[in-house]
Amino acid sequence: MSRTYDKSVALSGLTLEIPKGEFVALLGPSGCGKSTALNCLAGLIPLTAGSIHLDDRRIDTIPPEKREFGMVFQNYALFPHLTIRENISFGLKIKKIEKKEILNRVNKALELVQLREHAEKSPHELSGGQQQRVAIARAIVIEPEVVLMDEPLSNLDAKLRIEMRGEIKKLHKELGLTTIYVTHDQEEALSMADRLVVLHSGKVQQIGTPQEVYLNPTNSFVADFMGYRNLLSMEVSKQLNSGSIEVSLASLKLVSTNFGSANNLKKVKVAIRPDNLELSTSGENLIQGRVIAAEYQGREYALEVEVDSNTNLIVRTVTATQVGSNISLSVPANRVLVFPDNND
Amino acid sequence: MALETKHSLKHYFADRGVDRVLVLIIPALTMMLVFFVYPSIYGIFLSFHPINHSGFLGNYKSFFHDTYMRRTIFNTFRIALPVSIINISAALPVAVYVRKYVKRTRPINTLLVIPMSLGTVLIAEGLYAYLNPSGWLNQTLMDVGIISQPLRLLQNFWGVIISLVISGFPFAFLLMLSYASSINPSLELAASTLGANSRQVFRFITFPLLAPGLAITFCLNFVLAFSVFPSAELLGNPSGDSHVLAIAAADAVTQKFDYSMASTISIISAFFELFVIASVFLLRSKLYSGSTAGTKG
Repeated sequence: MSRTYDKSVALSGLTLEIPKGEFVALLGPSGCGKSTALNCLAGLIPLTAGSIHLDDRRIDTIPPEKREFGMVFQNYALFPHLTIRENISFGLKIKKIEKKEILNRVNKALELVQLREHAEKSPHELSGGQQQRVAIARAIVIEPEVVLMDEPLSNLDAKLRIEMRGEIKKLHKELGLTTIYVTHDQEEALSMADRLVVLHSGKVQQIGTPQEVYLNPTNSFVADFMGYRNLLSMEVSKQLNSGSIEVSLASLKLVSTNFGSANNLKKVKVAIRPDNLELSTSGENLIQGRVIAAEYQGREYALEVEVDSNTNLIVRTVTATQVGSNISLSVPANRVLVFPDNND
Repeated sequence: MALETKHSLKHYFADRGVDRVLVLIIPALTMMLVFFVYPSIYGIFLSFHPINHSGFLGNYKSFFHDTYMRRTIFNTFRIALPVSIINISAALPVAVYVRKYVKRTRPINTLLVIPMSLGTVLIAEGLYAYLNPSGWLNQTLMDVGIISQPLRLLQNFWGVIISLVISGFPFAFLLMLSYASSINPSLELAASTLGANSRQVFRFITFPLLAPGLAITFCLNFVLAFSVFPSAELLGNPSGDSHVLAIAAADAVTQKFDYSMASTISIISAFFELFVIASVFLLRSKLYSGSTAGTKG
């Protein structure tokens, strides 16, 4: 599946097979092509290359209204002139389904999203979270082959977002609907999806389960996006025994056993998660440093530690630490991820 | 204590939008009073004082007893209603189409603003040259052989209709375009993912959301067409089927020097305009009238 605009490539060569009932998240920063991919699937944007098949049927050539995809829009796109009930029954009415059945199915959908008592209200009388649930009910009541969700939670506040995450997951489990979910929020994607597709500037970076993507990102971009806050440009300084290399940057030297194909390169990117760095005086990769900033984050502290004149590391720890104190850090060699430097 | 009351009074007014900025409405208010409110009231007063002293309602009685005068009401409606209907029913689909498929609307807008800025008199002059029996249109049609006799498009009903469509359509289109543009396109996309084809999307989503704008555009067009004067005078048949209320009022002044009767005709004209506007808005109130921008985030 590809889509280009004049000269810019919005999406190139996305190939993906989704089994029935799977929850797939398209993940990436804004402008990475994830919404383009979703709109292409929905038929709202034509493809410039490639094809889309549903079972054995080719569907990229048919208009959106015939694809039987339910779509949840970022701004919900509820019809302001219709009541909640009319909004949800819209798709069924278009399909000319019997009145009695429409009533039943809409009531069931309202029940499912817990909006029964709001059925006769107008969309603008509901809160953001409620509107979001209406949008979801409207998309699933037509029993679509595939549900497409375009950042459905990005307009909600943090608390509601977490609540809705659970509800969407629950709905997905209950109804077994194949779902394609677009988001820029890695936490959202990790917690909801069966499989993640990480996109960057229109290209697929990695496809895998949440665990695979989180623990073993395939490149420095995915690592950065998955919360590897410490991303250092280093050099491979030594080939140690089989399965480990030493990377260095000025006085900082680290041993890594997680380097993929990067051992033959000179310039590399090294990624370490803040929570893999431990305050410890023993263990692998001991690093000495001075705390230059400490940020209290409730459950833990985020420390900025100067380990070399130009190199700072972000560390997450539950231990209260004073700014200015000298500390010792350690990180397991298999959690020091070494990638080819993309800027070559 | 005194300070507190002063403050709370200030808050009381501020709460109701009363503050010093309100001074800015004085010039507009003065204009309204001097050029609209006072003349209107004076006109109403005048209409009840006929110059022939035939009593309080004398002018109104003589207007409605005179079949020629009564016909002006019909003549005006016969022009204003079809013109408004033609204009909005042409403007609506074009505006919806332009909003959906045309990215650069500026050339279109410029093209359409020109007839609006020319003024009805100039349009009438232009049309006179264009539509008369030896004008371009008839000459071309006869040369090509489509017609053998020149079409009679002047000094009758059609001349007035054509000129009002030319001056009224751009106005209707630009208004409708701005109403159409305010509809969030994702509403239509949502409808199409729910299985609605483009006709159904228009019928169930776009049209209902445009209805309020449609009502306002219709009313403004109707009012403009209802008070038609220059085109009726220049392109129509001002003593026959385009003897509209505006011409009748003007005649009362210029031929009979009867300001009182002219006022009466104006009041009658205003009454019918308001009647139509009220009916349109009554009809509209039965339809959706809220925001078209989609729901809030």
